[in-house]
Amino acid sequence: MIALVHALPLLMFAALALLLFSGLPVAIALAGVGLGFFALGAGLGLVHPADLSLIHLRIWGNLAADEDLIYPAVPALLFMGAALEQSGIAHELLAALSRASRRVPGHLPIAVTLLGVLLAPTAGLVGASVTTLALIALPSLLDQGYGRPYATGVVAAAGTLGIVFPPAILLFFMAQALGVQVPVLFMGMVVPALLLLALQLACHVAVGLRPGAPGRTVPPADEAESWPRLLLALGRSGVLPLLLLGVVFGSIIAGLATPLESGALGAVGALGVAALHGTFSRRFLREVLVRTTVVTGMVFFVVIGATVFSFVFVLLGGPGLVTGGLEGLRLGPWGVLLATMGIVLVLGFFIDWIEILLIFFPILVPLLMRQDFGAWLGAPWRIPAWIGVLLTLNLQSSFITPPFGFSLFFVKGAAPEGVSMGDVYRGIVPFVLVQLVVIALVLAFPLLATWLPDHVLRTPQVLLPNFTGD
Amino acid sequence: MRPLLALADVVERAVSRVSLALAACLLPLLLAATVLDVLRRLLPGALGRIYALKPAQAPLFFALVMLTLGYVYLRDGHVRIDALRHRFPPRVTSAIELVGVLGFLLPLCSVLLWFGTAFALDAWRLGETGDDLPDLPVMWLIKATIPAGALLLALAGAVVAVRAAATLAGRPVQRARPPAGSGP
Repeated sequence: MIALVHALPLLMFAALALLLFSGLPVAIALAGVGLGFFALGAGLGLVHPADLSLIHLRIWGNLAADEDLIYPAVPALLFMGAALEQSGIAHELLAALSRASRRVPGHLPIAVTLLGVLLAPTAGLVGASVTTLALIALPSLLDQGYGRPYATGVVAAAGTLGIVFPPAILLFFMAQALGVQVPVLFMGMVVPALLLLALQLACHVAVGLRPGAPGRTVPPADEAESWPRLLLALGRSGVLPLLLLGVVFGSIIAGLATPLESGALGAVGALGVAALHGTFSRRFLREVLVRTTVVTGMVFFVVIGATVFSFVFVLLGGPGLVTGGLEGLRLGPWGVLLATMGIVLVLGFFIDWIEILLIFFPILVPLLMRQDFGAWLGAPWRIPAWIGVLLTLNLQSSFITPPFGFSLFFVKGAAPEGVSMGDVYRGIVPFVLVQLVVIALVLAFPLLATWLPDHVLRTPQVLLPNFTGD
Repeated sequence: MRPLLALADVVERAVSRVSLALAACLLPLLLAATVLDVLRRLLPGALGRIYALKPAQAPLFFALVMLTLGYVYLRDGHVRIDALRHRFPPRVTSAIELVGVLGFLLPLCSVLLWFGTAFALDAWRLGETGDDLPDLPVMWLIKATIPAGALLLALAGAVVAVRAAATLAGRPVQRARPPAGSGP
């Protein structure tokens, strides 16, 4: 009996796993397990029934009393992403990029990857960005004669690359979950994200240089395709959105605006892009509103469900149990880090980042954050940014790692007939290797993640005034 | 069963209309309040009298989230882990959904409805104001979105439950609208 009482928090997780795979909405499963175990705990006399009246206060505290206005920035950024997507820039940009760079080997995959970076930061969830990209770009890649494995690999990698480029929404939640400031994580991600991009582009060029590669023969310039037209297309579908993302990113980094303010300005700017495109209409506005509402509701219902779940988990003594158990293993800092990364990798096979960050991070992270990497990093204040970058890359890698990677199924789902799961698995291998190389580099050379925040944001002075003696 | 299904259709339309209309007000208001606040900072004096822009942001966001949860459920927009789900026959998914609504969702909504109403009523009786809004006793309105949102969500859950029950009873329901395009 006593053993059962102690094991209740662990049973919560077992019940959650079962319910999650039943296919119920994640938020409902979370709230259901929370309330069910609350009732059980009340029956066993472990929790006071009156504590039920605290749940709405937790939700209120999490969502409405957010003084940093980080969560409220999410609908604004989603609005920006939906407006950019609905404005129709993607098709024009892909065509223009591909045509402008047609003398570069592998120009079409390069265009797809750049498009993924440009569109995905605001698209929100992995599934959405990968599916969008697959629908737009996969047919053209196959038409040009790229093999099915490589074409699907390009799309899965590009769609997943975007979710870690600042100002991606994932980074807001990651910062919130780790207790890192948003600008610090943004700056920390810059170099690793650019490294990933550069390595992916290098892959494309290498493939394009092989004899007989598609796109080797430079297509003759289209008669109707004049340079001024191409420049106009590149300008309004490429440069303008890039500027918008740059302004959002820059104003957050520089501390000029709260994330919500940056997102709202970006949203208004995205409406401007749509107006320039001639796609601005009542229907467009309605579609953007509906998409923003649906994704916002989806994300924050999970936040609400996770609030109920973790409220009961804490009441039943869960965090102490898990942390105590992990500490009992005496893994040491590196052991804890690698174990956490392994768990995140496996979790990422099955569920999207939002659930991982909201359900599992509150349990895994406190122990990780207590580990002392100060000697490795040179200074204790660099630990949160470094760990944030590592876990972000880690999470992203898990989405494209066979056999379960999340994005791979979405590519398959959106691919034309004839593309098999085996094609997708074979095509993604080079890009998984790219991920591993970058993670290894960040592990071995923490400066890749910590130098920029240190020097641009002067992290020690900003974050921890008492460390200024360095 | 048939009148129940017809009622479900009516409730679905009503919840969707109300939620979407509210979202169509709240989301633009959130963006506008934020952009105007930036403008006010950049152009001191231009909007000097409007001091409620900043404190309005978090409440507008909160109301937007609470009041659209039901709508998103009706659009089947809430994220699921469907690795196994699409292999289940329709009767099994319907049974699971029915258990989920009756066993989990409606209890959650009841808790939020019950305690959220008291929460809002207290704010109303005390004339509670926001932190930075000494003259505006509107806190009850923001807090009232907890029970109001729970009610809309419960109604949406009831619609889903009735349709699931119909499927179980051998009367599969044709979905009235396509699932949301942007969610996974």
